[in-house]
Amino acid sequence: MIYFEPITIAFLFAGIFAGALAGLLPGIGNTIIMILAFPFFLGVENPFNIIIFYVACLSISQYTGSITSTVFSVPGEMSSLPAVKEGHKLYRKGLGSLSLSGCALGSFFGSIMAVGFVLLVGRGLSQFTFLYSTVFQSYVLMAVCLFIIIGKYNHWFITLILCGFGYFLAMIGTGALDVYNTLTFGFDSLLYGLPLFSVVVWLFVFPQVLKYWDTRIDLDPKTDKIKSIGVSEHLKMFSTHWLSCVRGSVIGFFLGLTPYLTTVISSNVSYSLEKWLREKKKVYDDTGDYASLVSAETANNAAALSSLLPLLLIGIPITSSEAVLLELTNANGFSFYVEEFYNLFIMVSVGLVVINVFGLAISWPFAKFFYVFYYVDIQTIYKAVLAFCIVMTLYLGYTDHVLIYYVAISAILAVIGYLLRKFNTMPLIFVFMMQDGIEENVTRLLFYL
Amino acid sequence: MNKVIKSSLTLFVTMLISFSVFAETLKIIIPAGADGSFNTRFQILKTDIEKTWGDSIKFVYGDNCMRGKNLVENEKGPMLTIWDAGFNLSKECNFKVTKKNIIAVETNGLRLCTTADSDFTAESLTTPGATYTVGHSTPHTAYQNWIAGYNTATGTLLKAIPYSSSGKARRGLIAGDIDFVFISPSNSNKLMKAGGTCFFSTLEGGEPKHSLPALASVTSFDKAVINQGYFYAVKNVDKKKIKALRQLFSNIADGDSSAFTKFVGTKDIYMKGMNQMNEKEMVKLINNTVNYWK
Repeated sequence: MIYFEPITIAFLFAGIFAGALAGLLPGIGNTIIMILAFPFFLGVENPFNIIIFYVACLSISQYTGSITSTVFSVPGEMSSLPAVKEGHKLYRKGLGSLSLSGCALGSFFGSIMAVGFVLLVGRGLSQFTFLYSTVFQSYVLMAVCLFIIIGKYNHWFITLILCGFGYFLAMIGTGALDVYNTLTFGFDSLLYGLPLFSVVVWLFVFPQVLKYWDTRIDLDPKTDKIKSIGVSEHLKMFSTHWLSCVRGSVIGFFLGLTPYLTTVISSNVSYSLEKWLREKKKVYDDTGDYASLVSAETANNAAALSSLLPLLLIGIPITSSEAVLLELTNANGFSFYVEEFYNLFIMVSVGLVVINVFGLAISWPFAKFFYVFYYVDIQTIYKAVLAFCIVMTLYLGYTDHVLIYYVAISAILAVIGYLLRKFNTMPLIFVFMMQDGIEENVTRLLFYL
Repeated sequence: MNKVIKSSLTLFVTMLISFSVFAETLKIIIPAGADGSFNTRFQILKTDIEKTWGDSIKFVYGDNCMRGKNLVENEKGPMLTIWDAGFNLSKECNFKVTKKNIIAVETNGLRLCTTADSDFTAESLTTPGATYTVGHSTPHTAYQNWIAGYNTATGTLLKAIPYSSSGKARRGLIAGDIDFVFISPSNSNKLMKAGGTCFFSTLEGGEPKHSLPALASVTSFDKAVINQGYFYAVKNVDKKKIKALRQLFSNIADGDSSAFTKFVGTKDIYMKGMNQMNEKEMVKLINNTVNYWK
């Protein structure tokens, strides 16, 4: 079912490009990129192409996120906050290139360490048949939901309401296991449920864009003249802090499995620990600490990979972008199973090596080319995203022969999305996408009781 | 910059509209999940169908029969689907098969199986008072009614556990969620390959090829013989293409196709196309299966 083919390379490069944008542009993260790519990926014969696109996007966004954090003090991704704190300080004192190389090399190191670790233990994972069990999968789903609720994006009560609303919306139509109609009010079009694309676009992309609409980027980073440093000095500096990288990789890899928080918690915990250790040793540099920065960036990329494991192993996503990926692979006839994990991961690993080499190149020697993005009006980009969403909604409605239904549902959802613009609606769409899996597991659990 | 974006969008929309107007994609609507045996069938037949159709094909998964029915009913373009006759027991899943829309039919039995490391025996399934969990796929109502009937006739207390596909039921068994599984030959073959054991076949004479006795030989349950009936049907397809699709499935049933070995030979599926029976007989076979399940 999944295989490597020449066109896979095109998907890989498309993922690299998309990931670069996700890391650079505030408000445009991996989830939005996957949603925007959604219509193009319906009908892709080989689901590996979609998986490699996603992996490339996820990895590269961690690299390019460090560029904007370091140079403009704008975190493209939440996980880049340590880079804002330390990287930008280094940049302002003229050590920007050292900061960028540290982030790039750390990210590369973290990714390769994580790949190596999974390859080492991956074959054995296929023996863990308990991973299929309803009880285990229910625990994982419960853990994911719990972390979503206690996650720091909204007040927990607001998140709970958003999750409930997402579940409610997903219930519309026919159930996953029982053939009952819910909330269809006699409308035939509602029998198949609300169109996924409309829901994620108008309840997530739209409010997200509105939230970031007035973002202003400081185009004058007020830096001193950047000091010229030779490649050997970059490498020497990095190798001096190898222990920070190893610590970052280990912390990142395991904390990356924390549902919903994945790279954010990994980079921030790794950063805090490294900072604490250095303060204890009295070597922490208040004007920009290289070791803490590198540790956080290493953790970031190690976590990006480990966060994929629950999805690749048992088909349970722990982030919203993974949930979109799962929807896409399912829509193209592919499901993730333990017995196929190792072969899939080997293919992903090969892609990851290539992706990380590119990541290293674009976020270090070629980083300055990305500064150009900040001379583009960010509102123009948001307008283009919204225009694209409208066109795609119409296109999908037209090709599914239910144009009026798509337009009507999208209009209603857009109003709701506007009202929700002050909140992070990621929990809503995550639960919306996961409702079938939750319902199926809960139904079976009730049968056992 | 704005001009560039506007121009790109205009070009993009024009391309999309052109593509959607001229393409005649055949939608393959699968009234089940992607990991079930329906999808396995179509993945094997994909290349042959594409060649016969002469244009692109697109898979759409309904997850269950009711969603599948909604998809079929709302579909305005050409589509091909596979339908379990058992679905038609429920009016929410009923898809009317006619001489005009039928392409081919299939029959196969079901098997009751367990894992390699289990110490259950054939007797476990027939001992009065035995309490075991049995996993099954869709249509849930039909299987649950069947297991209730079996319990009444045999004196067992088997409990039906629903899964959204036979592949998930097989994996649930491996994980230790359930004691037995009531699944299709294609999925039980995978289980047996991994060392699992199947005890009974629901075919009238059992399956001597796999040394499986008939379930009917150990229970007085009057519906212990099950010939699962499936039919392939189309909608919004012109007569010429219907004929070509019928010919394709007949060739597969004849063994005159590269897909035959992979599809019919190893999956223990019995396919019949227009070379074996006419459209009227195919419809009758399906209706008889539905009546039997009632």
